[in-house]
Parts: sequence; C-alpha cells; structure tokens
Amino acid sequence: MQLIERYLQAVKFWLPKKQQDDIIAELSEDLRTQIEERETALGRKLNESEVETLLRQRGSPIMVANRFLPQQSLIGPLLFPIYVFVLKLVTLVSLIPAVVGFIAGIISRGLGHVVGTGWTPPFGAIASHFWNGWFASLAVVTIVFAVLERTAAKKQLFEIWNPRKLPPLRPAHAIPRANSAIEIAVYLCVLVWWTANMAAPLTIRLGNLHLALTPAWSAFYWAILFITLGSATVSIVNFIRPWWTTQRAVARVLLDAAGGVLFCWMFEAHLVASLSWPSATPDKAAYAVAQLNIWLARIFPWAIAVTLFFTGIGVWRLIRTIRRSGARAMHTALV
Amino acid sequence: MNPEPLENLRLELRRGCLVLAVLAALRTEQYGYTLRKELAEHGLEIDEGTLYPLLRRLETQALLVSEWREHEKRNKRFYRLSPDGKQILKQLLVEWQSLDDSIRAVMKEQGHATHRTVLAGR
Repeated sequence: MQLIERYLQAVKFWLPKKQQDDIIAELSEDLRTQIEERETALGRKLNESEVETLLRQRGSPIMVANRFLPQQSLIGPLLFPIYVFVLKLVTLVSLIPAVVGFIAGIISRGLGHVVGTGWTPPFGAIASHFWNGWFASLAVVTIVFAVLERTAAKKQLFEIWNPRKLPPLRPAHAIPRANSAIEIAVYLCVLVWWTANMAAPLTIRLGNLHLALTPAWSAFYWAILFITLGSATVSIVNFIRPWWTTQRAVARVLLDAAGGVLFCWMFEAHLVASLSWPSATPDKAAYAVAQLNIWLARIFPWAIAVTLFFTGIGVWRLIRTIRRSGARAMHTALV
Repeated sequence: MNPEPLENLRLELRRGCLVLAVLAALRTEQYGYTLRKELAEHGLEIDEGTLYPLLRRLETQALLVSEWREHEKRNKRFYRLSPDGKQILKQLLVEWQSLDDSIRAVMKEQGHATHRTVLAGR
C-alpha cells in the first residue's frame, strides 16, 4: 500500500544515512507483520483509513525517526542555566547605549530650547541601533555556548571547582542590582530633564496657554534637584553594596518624606503667577490664576493622604529592615 | 489530582524496568514484533518507537547480538542476549532485587511508624 511506503520514506528522510536502510527494513517488517496479524483477525484486507489510523498510532515520521537519533541539543541542560544568565546580563548591558541615547536626546532638546539652535547630537541613533546590537550579542553568546558545549572546556567548568572560592553568603535583605540600575537610569534622566527644562524663571507652554510661575519656584526647583540627587546617590550606593542597611533605609525614608512634603507644599504655595492665552483680557487672566490656585489648594489634603501612604510604606520597610538586621546579627552571634 | 506528575513518574519508573525486561526476554532469541507481544502479554506494553531504538542501543553496548534471517518467507532481524549481556542481566537482577527489598523495608518501617503514631494518638 502506497501509504505505508510514503510513511517509511518520510521516516527515512530524518534518519542518519548510514543506518537508514537497516532501520527502515526493520520498521517496515514490524509494520507489515502488525497489518497481517490484524487482517488475519478481521478475515479481510485493511482499508486505507484503517492503515491511516495504524500509522497515526505509531506517531509522526519525524517523531519516530527522532527516537533513533542520539540526544542532540545546541546547548545542553548543564550549560543552559548559565547561558540564560549570560543572556540576561547581555540584555542589561545592551540597554545602556539605549539609555545613554535617550538621555542625550533629552539634553539635546534642552539645549535646543535654551540656545535656540535646534541642534540635535547624533546620540539618538544609538538607541535605534539597540535591537541590532542586542540580536547580534545574543547570536554571539549562543555560538560561544554551542562551541563550549562541544569542547572539553565544559568538563573543566564543572569538575574543577573549589568550595572555598564560592561566593560569600548574601546579606539577609539583598537589593537586586537590576533594580538599582533601573533607578539610577531613571534618576539620571529626571536630573538631566529637570536641569535642562525646569530652572527658574519658568514658563510652561501648553499649546496657546502660557503659565508663568512665581519666583518661589526657584526654591522648589533647587529642593527637588537636591532630593533627586540624594535619591540617585542612595541608588548608586545600593548598586555598589546591594543590601539594605539601617542608615540607607533611613536616608531613603527621609528623602521620600522630604519629596512628599515638597509635593504637598507646592499645592499650597500659590505658585501660579500668571496665565495668558491669545483671547485673554487682564481681568480674565487674573480670575483664572486665582481660581487655579484655589483648586490647587483644595487638592492639598489629598496630596497629604497620598504622601502619608507612601511614607508609611517606607517606614514599614525601614522597621522590617531594622528587625531583620537585629535577627541576623543575633543569628550570627549565636553561630 | 493532576494526573501528569503520576504519569511522568510512572514512565520514569518503567524506563529502567523495561531495559531489564527486554534483556530478560531476550535470553530466548526473537525478533522485534514477537518480543513486543511477549512483553505486552506480561503487562509491559512498549511501543515500537521505544523498543527498536532501545534494541539498537543495547546492541551498540554489546549486550545484544542480532542477525537478519529468513523466517516464514520474510527477512526478520533476530535479537538475543550476548555473553556480556548475560553477565549484565545477572548483575542487574541482583540490583533490582536489592532495590525491591530496600523499598519493601522502607515501606514496612513507615507502616510501623504510622501505626505507632496512631496508637500514641489514642
């Protein structure tokens, strides 16, 4: 029956050349014996759909052939966890040019605004090359691991090791370095954007609407700048020494609380000095300013509630850190 | 209960036993199809996709020998245990017996412990 021949031909395609004929002869013999036995039991020839069912039960040609092949993998189970770890690392490192490109873009927009030249440095192109660089890095890492899988170096990697050279115990409350890296990148972007665009005297343009802030903004500008610098410093220290200490947890809580106080204060500080739009008369503009400041003041209690909530989370984390530090110190002392 | 873990563990447990069963069955020469039927009759169902690669692997390890021969007007490949295979089978059977004894002993001990816990709870 042609169906059987086609099936065997499909299996043969995936088999190693040297063994193809031998394996197919044996499989063919097994298949024909099974069919003959079934036909004897039924007292008639099997029809095509019955043969089809029988072949389906045996499995797809590639699956059948696969069982005769040696176990093959580009990267084996021993190296695979290391491979995944390196891929994550490469992804993180590939992100750096993209972040630099992003920051450069913000700076260039800031400079363009200030100087009025509209000059844009070519750093933005780095970000657009992120994908190419990332895929190329993944390909190189995969090739290196595939080669390593097939060399004696793999054996050395797993057999030559020293328990004394294992990494030291991690502190009780480790901070993932990736989190700190993301925080540093975000704070850098915020700092660059803030210094380039938010310095006093500040006029915010929303379409045709121009909103000028009072000179009091200058104090807020510098305060927010210092709080952001402080937070970035904590993140940098966390990146270098990735575990929470009481001092750092207190610093983070204080910075968050200071940020919260500033945030609330802004609503009460009557920061809007003037509003203008093309059809505005002086009376209308003054009325709009007064109304805007009143509404901002009404948001003030809600801002306090939000601030208290986030500061509460910070304090809770601080208490937990202090408690765990105490427990850890006691455990270390006992051991 | 999710049947998948049971099925996976069952397959894992059977995998080692099948090698032993195949070696034991091939103390008498036979070809693949009859071997499969014999194992099935003894409650050890094995599909051809597992059996033939296993036979080849055991032959590569020199535990089996095979030859193509005409039987009932058709060419069939007959397998039988090699002298090395006979030795290995003996050792594996001892190992299997020892494992069986150990598991029975553990089960018996656990049974006693459970019994004691139940008594203590009364």
